[in-house]
Amino acid sequence: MYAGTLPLPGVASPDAEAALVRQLVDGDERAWRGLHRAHAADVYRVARRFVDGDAEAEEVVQEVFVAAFRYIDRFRGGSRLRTWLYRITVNRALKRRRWRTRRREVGPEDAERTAGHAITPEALAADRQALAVLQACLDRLEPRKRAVLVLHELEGLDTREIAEILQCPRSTVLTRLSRARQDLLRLAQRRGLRADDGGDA
Amino acid sequence: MRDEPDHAVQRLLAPLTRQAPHLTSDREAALWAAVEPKLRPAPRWPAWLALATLGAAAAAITLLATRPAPTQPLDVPLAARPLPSGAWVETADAVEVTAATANQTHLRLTTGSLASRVPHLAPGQRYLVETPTALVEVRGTVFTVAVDAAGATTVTVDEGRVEVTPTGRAPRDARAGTRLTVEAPTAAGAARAEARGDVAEALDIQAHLLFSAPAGLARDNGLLRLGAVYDARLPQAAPAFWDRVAAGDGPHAEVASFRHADALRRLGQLDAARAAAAAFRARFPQSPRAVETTRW
Repeated sequence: MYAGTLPLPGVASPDAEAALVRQLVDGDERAWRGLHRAHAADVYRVARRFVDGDAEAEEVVQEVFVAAFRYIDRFRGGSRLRTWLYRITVNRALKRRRWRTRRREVGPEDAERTAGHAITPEALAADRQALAVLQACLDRLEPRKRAVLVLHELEGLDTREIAEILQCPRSTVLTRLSRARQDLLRLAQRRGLRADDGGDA
Repeated sequence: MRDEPDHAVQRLLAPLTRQAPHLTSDREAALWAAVEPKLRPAPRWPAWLALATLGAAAAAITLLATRPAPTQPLDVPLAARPLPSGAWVETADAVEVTAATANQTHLRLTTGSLASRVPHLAPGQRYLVETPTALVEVRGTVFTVAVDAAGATTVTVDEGRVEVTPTGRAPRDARAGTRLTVEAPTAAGAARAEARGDVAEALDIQAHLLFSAPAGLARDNGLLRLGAVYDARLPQAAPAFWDRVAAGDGPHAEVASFRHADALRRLGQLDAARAAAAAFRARFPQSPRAVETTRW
């Protein structure tokens, strides 16, 4: 019986998750509270990789759990709950980006400030401005490639789970990942960011 | 193509990996407090009650639709809010809603910014954002209006087309992918536009100021000087300027009428130049410049 807290995200056994889903479908408030407690931070972290600010990421978290509540009866158990929540998160966050990011771009002054001197990863960590440029490089990626790169490189998800989240074949994920890496390195190089002389662990 | 780590990319992204966004337990609890009230099953109403409610709602909508739109100042921030017209606005700043019906949306923004997503509007539907210096009218688009501390209005159009009418001046089109800034119609506004390199806006403000000035020699001479600036710096806008000067009865109408035709000629618009020259000769047949224009 569910007791108000969930095991660590992603490690629930299939049987425990199936029982939890039944409780969620029944509208068990404690089950929903537990789901939120277990996954809100993950959802927030993923959302924050896609949207512009903490406040907007928190809005996405709210939207995701409200949508999950509304559609939990359609959850078939074909994937893990966390994967399903990530799918909603990425869809919601990308939808917001489609509307908002057209207005935001890195100005030429940003590129000029960073051009001409290479920045190692160590220096990047201490250099908020360069971090912003790195973030801008990510923002310049085509949204579907960016989604794959963020989920794989920053969130550490494997390409099979990413394929489930994005609902596309794994081969597509691998293609997008490869191209996203190339695009990111090219964009970073253009802005004077260099990764190959760093020794980051 | 395999799922192997790319070390160059990993090293590049290492700072972002280390600085993973973190949701504190306090924020998680606060978010739950916001989400929890929304996790309520929709009530299941008896069919007769649902039908009666629907009927009452339809009657109320009909009544509201036939009433004039109330002017209702709402000095509260709107946050990603849908409007009766189907449009969405998003802002963190105070916006006065002077009309919000299915057919007309009229928002007044004094300072700050306001993003709008407007679905395609049917004939008769209007969506307007009024600022201290401009009226922005939309035809189904995604755009942002921002007003800075000096009162300048900047319209950024992401999709579609927006018509921007600077207060007291001629409307302009802002198309997708463009940004248009309307300064306050003052000498300071013109200077700001000039400083940002927006020659069109700087000259338009100066023209507005001169055309609005009391009639007299100072005004007429000012228009003549400004026309020369248009010729030199913004030749594509010079014909319209000279045409407007020529439309008046000032002492420089003859010069302006000739310059209108000449500006068109210099732009290579020969047919329009010849038509303007013919109008010039008809109006000022004794002008010493008349003969010259017959050779164009």
